Amino acid sequence: MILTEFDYVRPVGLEEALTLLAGTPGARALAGGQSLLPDLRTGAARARLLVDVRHLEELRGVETAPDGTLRIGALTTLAELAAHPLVLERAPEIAAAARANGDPQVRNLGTTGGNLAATGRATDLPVAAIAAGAEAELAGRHGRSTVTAEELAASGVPAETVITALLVPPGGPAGAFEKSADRATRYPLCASAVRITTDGPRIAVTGATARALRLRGVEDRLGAGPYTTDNVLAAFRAEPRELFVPGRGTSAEYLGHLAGVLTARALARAQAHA
Amino acid sequence: MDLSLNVNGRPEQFSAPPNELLVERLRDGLGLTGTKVGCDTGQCGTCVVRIDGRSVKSCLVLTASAAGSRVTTIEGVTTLGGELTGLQEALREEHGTQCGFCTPGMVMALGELVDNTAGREAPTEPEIREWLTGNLCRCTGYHSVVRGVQRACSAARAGESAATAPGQEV
Amino acid sequence: MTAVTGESALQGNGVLGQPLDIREDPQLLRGEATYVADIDLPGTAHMAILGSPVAHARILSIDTKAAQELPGVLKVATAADFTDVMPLPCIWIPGGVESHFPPHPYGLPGARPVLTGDSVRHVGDPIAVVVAETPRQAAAALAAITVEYEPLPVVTRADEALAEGAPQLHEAVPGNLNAYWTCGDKDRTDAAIAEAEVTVELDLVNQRTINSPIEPRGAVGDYNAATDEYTLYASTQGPHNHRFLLAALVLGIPFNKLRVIAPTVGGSFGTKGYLYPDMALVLLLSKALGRPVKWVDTRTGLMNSTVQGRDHRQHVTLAGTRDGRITAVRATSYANLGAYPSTIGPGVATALMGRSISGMYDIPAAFCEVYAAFTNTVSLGAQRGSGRAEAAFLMERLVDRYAFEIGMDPAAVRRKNLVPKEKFPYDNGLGWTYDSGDYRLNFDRAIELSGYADMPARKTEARTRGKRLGVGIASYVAICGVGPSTRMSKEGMLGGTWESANIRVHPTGEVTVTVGSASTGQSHATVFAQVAADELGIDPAQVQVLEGDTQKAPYGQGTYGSRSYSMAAPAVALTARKLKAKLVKAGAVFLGVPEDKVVYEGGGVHEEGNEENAKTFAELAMAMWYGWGLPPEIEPALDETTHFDPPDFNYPFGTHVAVVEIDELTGETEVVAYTAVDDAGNIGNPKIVRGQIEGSIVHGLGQALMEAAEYDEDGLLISSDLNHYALPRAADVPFFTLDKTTTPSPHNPLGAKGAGEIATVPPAAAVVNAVVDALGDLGVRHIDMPLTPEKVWRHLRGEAQ
Repeated sequence: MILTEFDYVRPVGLEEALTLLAGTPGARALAGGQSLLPDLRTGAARARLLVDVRHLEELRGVETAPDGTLRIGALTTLAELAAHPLVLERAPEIAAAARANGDPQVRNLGTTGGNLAATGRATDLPVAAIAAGAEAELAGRHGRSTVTAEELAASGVPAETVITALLVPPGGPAGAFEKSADRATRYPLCASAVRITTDGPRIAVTGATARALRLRGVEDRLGAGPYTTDNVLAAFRAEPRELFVPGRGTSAEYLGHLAGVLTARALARAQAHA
Repeated sequence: MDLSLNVNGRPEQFSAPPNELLVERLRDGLGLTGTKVGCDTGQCGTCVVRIDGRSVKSCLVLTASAAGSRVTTIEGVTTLGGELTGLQEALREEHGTQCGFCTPGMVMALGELVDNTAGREAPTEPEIREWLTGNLCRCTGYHSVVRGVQRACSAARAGESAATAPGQEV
Repeated sequence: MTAVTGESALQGNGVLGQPLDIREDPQLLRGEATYVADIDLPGTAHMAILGSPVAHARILSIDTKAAQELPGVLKVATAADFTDVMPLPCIWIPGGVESHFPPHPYGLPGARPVLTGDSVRHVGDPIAVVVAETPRQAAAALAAITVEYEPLPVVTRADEALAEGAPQLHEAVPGNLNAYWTCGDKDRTDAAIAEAEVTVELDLVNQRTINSPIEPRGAVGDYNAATDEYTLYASTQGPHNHRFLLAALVLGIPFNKLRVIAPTVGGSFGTKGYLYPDMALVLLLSKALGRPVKWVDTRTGLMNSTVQGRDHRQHVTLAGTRDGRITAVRATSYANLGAYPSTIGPGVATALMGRSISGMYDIPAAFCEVYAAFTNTVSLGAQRGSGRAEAAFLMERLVDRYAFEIGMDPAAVRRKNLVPKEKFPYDNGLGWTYDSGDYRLNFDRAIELSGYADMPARKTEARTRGKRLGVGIASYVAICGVGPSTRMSKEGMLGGTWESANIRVHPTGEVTVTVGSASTGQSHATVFAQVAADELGIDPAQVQVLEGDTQKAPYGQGTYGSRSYSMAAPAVALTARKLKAKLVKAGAVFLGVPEDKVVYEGGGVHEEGNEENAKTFAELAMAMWYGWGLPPEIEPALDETTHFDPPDFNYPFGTHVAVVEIDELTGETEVVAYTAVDDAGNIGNPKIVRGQIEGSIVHGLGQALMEAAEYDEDGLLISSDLNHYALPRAADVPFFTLDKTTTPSPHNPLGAKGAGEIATVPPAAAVVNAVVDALGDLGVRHIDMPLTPEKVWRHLRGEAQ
């Protein structure tokens, strides 16, 4: 139960946090800590300074912008996210992904931003954010910017910046999330999130792929449907084989298939709600 | 680092290294050994305590990050040898414990569920089982625990008793 | 069932068998119980153990200089510091056969040194220890020790360890073969198989699993220089046994200089009855440093040091007639003992498994051979249901395979072959003589309760939901109540296996029961109080139960093999009967009537036909305390002890039925219903037993569905923490349907049979049978555990046949 050595600081505001992160080699932001602390114990992660942003009130809460965008503060816990009426109504795939995470204690501390930013393992929120067409709002010393959830999953959180919010465009009930959890860790062995839009489905998977990935090829093949299991599995089989990667004790072949099954189920659920 | 923490209603002040986990402070620093350590990876749930009412794993929280919060451990739920809470009594009636090592963590985790139930629909069996995801037990197979929670939740719903001791704010 | 409190059960007789509330529970629920990690003696220093990072290597050098100089470090020690300490012994040698062990100076089989000096033989093999002021300092110092290794080839499978040219682990053990052990009649069995109308065969892997008590082990050593006495606090199932082994066979100190105390123990499932190096090390280092020394394991440490379970590779054959009569069973098993023989591991891997393979069936010819081999893995030991679970697995898989082959219903085949009631005591031809049973009653009850007849309709319905439903039956007989000491000596057990109890009646009428056993979560205090109260006719609330401290308790062996209620509880009952007999004798004096006119009732005595002339229990207690007026043949005071050695073992049994649903698209297997009808003879407290049955079933389901200790080709344990080793969670199981039958054992005065672990024996077989049933039409005949979704999916797709 002994962690590697590091220093700790608790900034009073976001600006101070950003200054600390930018000004200290080896500094890392600590939010819920539910994956970072175990990683610091095993050596999977290293830090010389932990900048504890967990207490920054300005990064909490869920609100609706005038254009209908849902603004989810990065420090909104997964428990809050899973139970929030606005999220449940407008982005059910995100609520379901938050709910599917870990266990009640992890959800009580784990944060939206932390889950989106996690590296080294598949987590639940990135696929849901991609399916929802969401963007992440980032803050660095040089101001704020936004990045699509898809880009965030591809390139990670840039150095010396933190995620401040998840921005979810106006949606509705036509989203769903399905997961097959690793029996030991509860992280996704494979997870799929979908949203059915007027342009067709948006589909993202994780666990079966090297990172959370939007599967445009599958989307194009499925088009307007029908999203029968056979169709969805065929659309997945048409993906290049190397897209899918093996997991712990599971083959790429099985995970690729599982991703298709979970996607078919998510599509069925999304359609039922639409 | 000089830190302060409210533990079971008592203000505590101490100096701790930055990489100290809350569970280390509770057990080694404050002698609150009802909180257990069963794994190194955040899986077993024997170290669950409540911070500002929410159940959390104290091996996944830095002491420094908990500073300024109100922490409740199993010792804060009842007095030594004292009357059991509604949840504990229900678990006792269903014999929801055998070796007892996972029990304090379960009581702390389930306390939040039962508290949330007051005045609402009691959780379903699958919901109770899901809530127990963060607590491993090797002795009971969980059934007696689930029955205990069902019993406690129906009592809590009826407003007969709550997870926490009368007058205790968690 | 409603709970009965001590108050309403005041009349004594009838207290036993009632679901009284568990008196241990309030303290556990308040988090007040003291486990070994919670012990904090003044001046305690903290020990950490350096385990080998490699599975097999010669140690070329160990450099501890840098570690010694780190802040807070009090002592760094290696094997060179303990040359006068004897190796840990192994005390269960496979009986009646030639066997090979590392040596121990007393001519006993040796197991392992407290620290290894020449070679490391598994990852985690202890090489060095550090004692420091704080656990953090000790851990930091471990990291500063440098060890130079010369790598040696690694073998992790028993069958491979026996092959020509395999890496050799111990000089004294040629070819890594600890023992070739057999039971049953080989010629007859071979002949029956050769002549049979039908034979079926299976190759089975009963995979290694990790016990995983939620409390890791720990030990605190406290040496008192003033008295030259040692005290060991340890998470142990058998404090007396550990005292004997440590004092006499490891440390070489007088027996009366060592006291062993088991505090509250957080689960064990077999693991904490074994002798481990840390127990000796904390005592030795406490003496060296003049301070208490404490060691608490981590989860990863536990997984690389505490005994693991199962691990047999088997080729098994069953022969029978076309109409379903089993004529022979034969098993060849390769048992993986790990790198060193654990305290009783070799016996677990041979006799407990081999003699049990015929299960509930009346089979004319049976034979089992076991090759027990050493490999570069953690030592093998007991695990909830050990030996018997492996036996039931192979037998119950074979019966299903046979039923399929002859086109008969698996339930019908089983029913046809059950040992009939009139054949008890029944000699199973493998070394066990089953004491009592009505197997058909038990079997029929389970089948009926499970709704077995409805399964075809349920299968059809499940297919409409994309699920394949399967049903699997597994019956078992689980030898328990170890046991008769002389009989165990013939099995190669170096030790007495009796059990004890002492009862003291205090002058004011309260009672203290002290037993030699030690609870690891089995609610001993509750049930032993019930036994004493029932016999004495008093309120259980006035009975205190103590155990777990060698200074207070009469000698006994501890908790293992589900023995406490059929070994220690009878000792309690017999002791109470001695007290009653004495009270009747003394009562005659106090009442002034002949002894045959004294009636003992409700804790007191009265004159037959004259209830006015009476003494209450408290009055008798006080009178015996004073001892006034007693004749010379009656000693004052009420303090009796019994050492109970039964005439033979006891044989609980049962039938379980698992119903699974397999997702046709993902291969995920869910246990949707589970019925268990177990027979543990007369039960002391059904609330306790119910909990043990439920927990045992979930443990067994864990092996079937998810648990596996996986070693890579370098001998590294991949599944070395709970992120890599899955344990069943609450959401993994449904509520079970439970019932019991009751066949008292004739081998103890309570008619008790073992209960604690018995329900761990059949679930793995029941679940695999169910899954194979669900996939039978696809040509699937067997799937190795754990039944991971991908494995099942591949079978669904027609691969991997």
